[in-house]
Amino acid sequence: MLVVDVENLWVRYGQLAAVRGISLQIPRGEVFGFIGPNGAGKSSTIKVLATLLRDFTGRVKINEIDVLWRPQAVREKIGYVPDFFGVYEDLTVEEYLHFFAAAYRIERARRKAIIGDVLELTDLVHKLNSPVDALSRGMKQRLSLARVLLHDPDLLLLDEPASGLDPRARIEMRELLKALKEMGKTILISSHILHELSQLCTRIGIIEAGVMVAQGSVNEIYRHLGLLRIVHVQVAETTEDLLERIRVVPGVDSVEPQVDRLAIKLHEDQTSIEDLHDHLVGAGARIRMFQPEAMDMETAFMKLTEGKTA
Amino acid sequence: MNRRFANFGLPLLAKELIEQAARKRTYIVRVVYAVILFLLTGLFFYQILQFAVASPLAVLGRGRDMFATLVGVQFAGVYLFMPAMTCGVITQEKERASLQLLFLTRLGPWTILFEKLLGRLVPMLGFLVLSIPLLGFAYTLGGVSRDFLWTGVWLLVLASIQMGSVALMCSAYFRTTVGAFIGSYVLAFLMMFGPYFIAMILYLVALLAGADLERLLREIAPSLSPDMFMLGMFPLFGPMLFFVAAMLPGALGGWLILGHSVIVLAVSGGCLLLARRFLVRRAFLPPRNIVLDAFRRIDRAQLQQARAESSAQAAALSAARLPGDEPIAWRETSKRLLGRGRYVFRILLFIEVPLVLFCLLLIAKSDNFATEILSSMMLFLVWMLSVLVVSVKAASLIAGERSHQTLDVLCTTPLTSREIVLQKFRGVLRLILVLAVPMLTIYLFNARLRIVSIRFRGPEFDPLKYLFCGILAVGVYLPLVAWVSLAIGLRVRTQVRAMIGSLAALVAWCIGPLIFITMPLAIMLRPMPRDDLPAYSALLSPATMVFMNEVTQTEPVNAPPAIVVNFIGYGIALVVIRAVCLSNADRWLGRCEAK
Repeated sequence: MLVVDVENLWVRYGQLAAVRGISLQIPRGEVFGFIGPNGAGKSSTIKVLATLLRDFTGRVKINEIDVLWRPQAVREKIGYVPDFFGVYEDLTVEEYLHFFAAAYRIERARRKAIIGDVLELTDLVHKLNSPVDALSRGMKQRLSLARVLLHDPDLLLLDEPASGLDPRARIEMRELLKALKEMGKTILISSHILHELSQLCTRIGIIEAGVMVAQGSVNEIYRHLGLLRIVHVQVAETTEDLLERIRVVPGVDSVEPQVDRLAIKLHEDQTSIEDLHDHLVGAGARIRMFQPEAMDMETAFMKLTEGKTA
Repeated sequence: MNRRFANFGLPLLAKELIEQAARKRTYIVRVVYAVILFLLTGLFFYQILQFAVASPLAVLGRGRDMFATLVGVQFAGVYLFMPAMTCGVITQEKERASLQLLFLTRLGPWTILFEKLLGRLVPMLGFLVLSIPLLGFAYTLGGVSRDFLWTGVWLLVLASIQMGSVALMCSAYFRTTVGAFIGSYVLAFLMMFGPYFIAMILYLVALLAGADLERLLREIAPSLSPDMFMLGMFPLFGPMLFFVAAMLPGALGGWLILGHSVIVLAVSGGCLLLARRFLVRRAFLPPRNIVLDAFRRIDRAQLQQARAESSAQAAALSAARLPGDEPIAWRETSKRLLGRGRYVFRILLFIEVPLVLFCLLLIAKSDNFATEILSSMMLFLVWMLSVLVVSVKAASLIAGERSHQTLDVLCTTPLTSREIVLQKFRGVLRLILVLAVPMLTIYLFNARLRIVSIRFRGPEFDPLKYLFCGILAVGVYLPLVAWVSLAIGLRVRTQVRAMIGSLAALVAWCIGPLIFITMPLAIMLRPMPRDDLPAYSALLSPATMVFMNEVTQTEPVNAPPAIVVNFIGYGIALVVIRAVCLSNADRWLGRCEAK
């Protein structure tokens, strides 16, 4: 079942078309990563899904409910974390969560237990009586996640949840998102931190100048772009003969001898990593280290977007 | 030399002026202002021409009234809008967290302050320059001496500097623009009328104690001239001096203007010194409300006492601090100064006790001329402050959520836009109820004063009609002010724009009909025997009924049918504006509308 169904979405601000005909479908339980440069249309798309934009065309449905026709029903199904944390400086963490529990019409009798659960999940129990304004940025973002989990929504819309966080807070946020993924939540997340998205998301959409330029799993996007995987190999003895034998292995694009290793560029669609290992052993290489480089999302992103904005 | 010259680049001033020049509304406001001034002059000239029917020479010497009116309108503009324009110059930097960036530049605190002040003085002086051709025209009609002309111009410039400095100081002192906005007007009002009020209270107290203050004053200063008296009563209020000079040519000496100028410039300098002191010291203040903090400390003490006495009572007190089913209303009421019944009671006690004592003092000396002026002035003062506070509060409701970037999150909750607006309004409603208490107290005492005072209208005064009109005014106008301001706050993106926009809209509603409808009608229908039409047309301004109820009981607009029609009309306007706000709430909040 599709939780998000967007077909030919257009968003215009006066003369400017910020989103130009985007289509995307997100099934239940999927974590969809939205990547794009600033001004590409990510936030506009998320705002449409969050019922915060009126002036758009196209079909936008959440859980089969049309955003344009029944926004009130949609609001029951979503949890939205914006790319900034607006502060109610006069509330404590407990009051803040009770405030939104009441806004989401959660019964009074259940509020305390639910708030306890979300605070435990986001590791904020010890901050229950702290003023919201006094929390660190990372804690505020976790509090935002706690807020959107209160009413157990079908879809989480997270707009740059890791922006401005220090490395520790970023790791904590990633772990929290992984926990939500394991809980089966459907998540649409936009971010600039491409490496993290590639680790977390089941699918990724790359948006540029209001147009979706690529969509699919990380591997699908690599294949689509024809990107090469780099494998670092350390062998006991590097000879010209060995290098020649590696170069003729199907799928090997090039072999570059470096100070202590060989960097092999591989077309994965022709030879898998595991087969390459077998070929190397067959060629007589005595392997000390065999390390495929993590997928280079940044290269993919730069290749797709060419740095353009809408 | 070159380096020194480069440092004199005034980058902040340049930025402010470029920003203003890039805005379309700068030009719209200027054109509207010019239209008002030129229309006013045209009306006056039309009136003057009527004298020319008998003899063309009769026109000569009639420029004085035109000149005085033009300067008067500009005084009103300066006093109304200069604080609003200036109060946000530092607080906005604080709210955007950009003040620390300014501190990191080579600009010193004095440079920042002066450039910010100049950034507001230049457009205000630009408005004044707009009137130069008209002042020149009035001068050519005669009756305006060169001294009088320069006095008017100089006092306007002085008033601009004074209001700018006061608002700049408030901007440096307060943490938020809302605080600076209200603080600027309250301080300006105290400066203008504070000395007079204090003098009058002292005078009445002395009379009550059996002392003749006038005789005492004559003995201390036997040669006290009217100039000195005026300067003593209104040392910081230029228009008073200007209009006395306009009405009684030659009555006030030139040294009076000099004395006033010295005092105003000294006070402005003092304000700038304080602004310099506050700019850095109060740059990074945590949110704090001293009165609310004090109330909460009392609450905590009570909670601890309740815990000691009974755990059930303590649990009840503790649970009361969490929201029920209306979270926004809960935050708007319980998290504010007027949050709880006992807070309201304490505040009312704080306001009502001195007010009632003052009113009793007025009644005790009801045979004195000062009581009449004081009682009416007090009522107008409370009206102005109430309108200001209600307007600012209502305009900031939604604009404040936008500024603090909390509106989007609120708008994605299942609360309907109507619920959001109505719950937000709950705090304003409470504020109106609290403000209504001192207002009605004054109306009650004023009615009593007029019954006992021999100087008042005697048998013509109908206390029931007076009270009826006063109660309706409070009950209809304050909510009307709130909904007009809320409507503007819903549509405008920033808090400052919402506050200035609301103030401008209310002033336009109060003054516009009088300038554009009543005055032209009065001038054009002057030869006609029946002139009720201009009087009734004045009811298009909501301020008319409040003013007329206070100053007279015999005009056509004071008749009960006129009062009833007036308030039915404004009641309908209130209902319509409220309905428009609620029906457009989705759109104005920027949400998807349900179809």
